[in-house]
Amino acid sequence: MANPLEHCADCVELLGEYIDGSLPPERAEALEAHLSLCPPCITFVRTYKATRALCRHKLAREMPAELKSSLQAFLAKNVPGYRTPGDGGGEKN
Amino acid sequence: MADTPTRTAPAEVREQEQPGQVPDVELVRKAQAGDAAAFAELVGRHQRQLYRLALRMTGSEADAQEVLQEAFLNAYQKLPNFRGEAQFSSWLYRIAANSALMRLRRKRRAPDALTDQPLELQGPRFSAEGYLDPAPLSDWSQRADEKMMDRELGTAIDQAVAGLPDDYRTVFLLKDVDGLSNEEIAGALDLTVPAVKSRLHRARLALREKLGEFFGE
Ligand SMILES: [Zn+2]
Repeated sequence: MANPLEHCADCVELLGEYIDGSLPPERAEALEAHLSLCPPCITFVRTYKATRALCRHKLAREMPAELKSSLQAFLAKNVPGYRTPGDGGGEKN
Repeated sequence: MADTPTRTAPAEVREQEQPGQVPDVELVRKAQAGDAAAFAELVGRHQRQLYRLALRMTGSEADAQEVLQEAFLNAYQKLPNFRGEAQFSSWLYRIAANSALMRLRRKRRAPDALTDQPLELQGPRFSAEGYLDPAPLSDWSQRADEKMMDRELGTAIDQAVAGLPDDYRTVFLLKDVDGLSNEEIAGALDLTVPAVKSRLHRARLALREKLGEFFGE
């Protein structure tokens, strides 16, 4: 087990890479060791992650269907030989 | 005890190259040889992420539509020059980002992305010894799930995100909401990957403070 990070400030600093899964394993271990000793940082991590989840839920956007068809029409007009892929073409859902 | 790390991109928003599909490079080669169907397939694969990029950068549905048209047409015209050193998606994002930036400049609403001004974004505070001070009072993440559909929370989120500086907001939305990779964002916005990571982290910290206020932390 790695030595725990000493300070909450270090823990918070590494949090972005930690929750993105890009922190080197030994740094992640040191961070987790700090968490096991520091309830305030556990709360901090949870609310940091909740922030992301809430924003994703509220702000996610799908490309509107009208925009897809207007884009296809535009390309059909401007790209020689362009044809909208039929059903079962490139797109899922 | 520790929360497990979660992977970057939410699966539901990454619909580009699926396993078992013809890879982009191959479609690009065909399109370069004049196969319009291959180009149409590339459009189908990338239109949604490109739409999100255009929307996040311009902040407007109407602008996003024009950026998208311009970007794909531009990509088609420049296709012979694409050498395949970069990912096709990154190359495409860069084209769309340039189109969005030009549009913003014409509207004299250039994002402060390029000015790199120092910013006072709120974040957690620490004691002289480096401990969280004040410590978070409540774990409002417990209540977050039930509040997902709450209108007031929705407004608080909108306001908090709108309060971020342009480039922080764009990076945050592209990564945490739309699921682009750090590398894709860096390429599109002409930032280094460390700069993307740092803006992302600072944006999340600032938003966390605002949502904490909403939950009465
Ligand atoms: Zn701590």
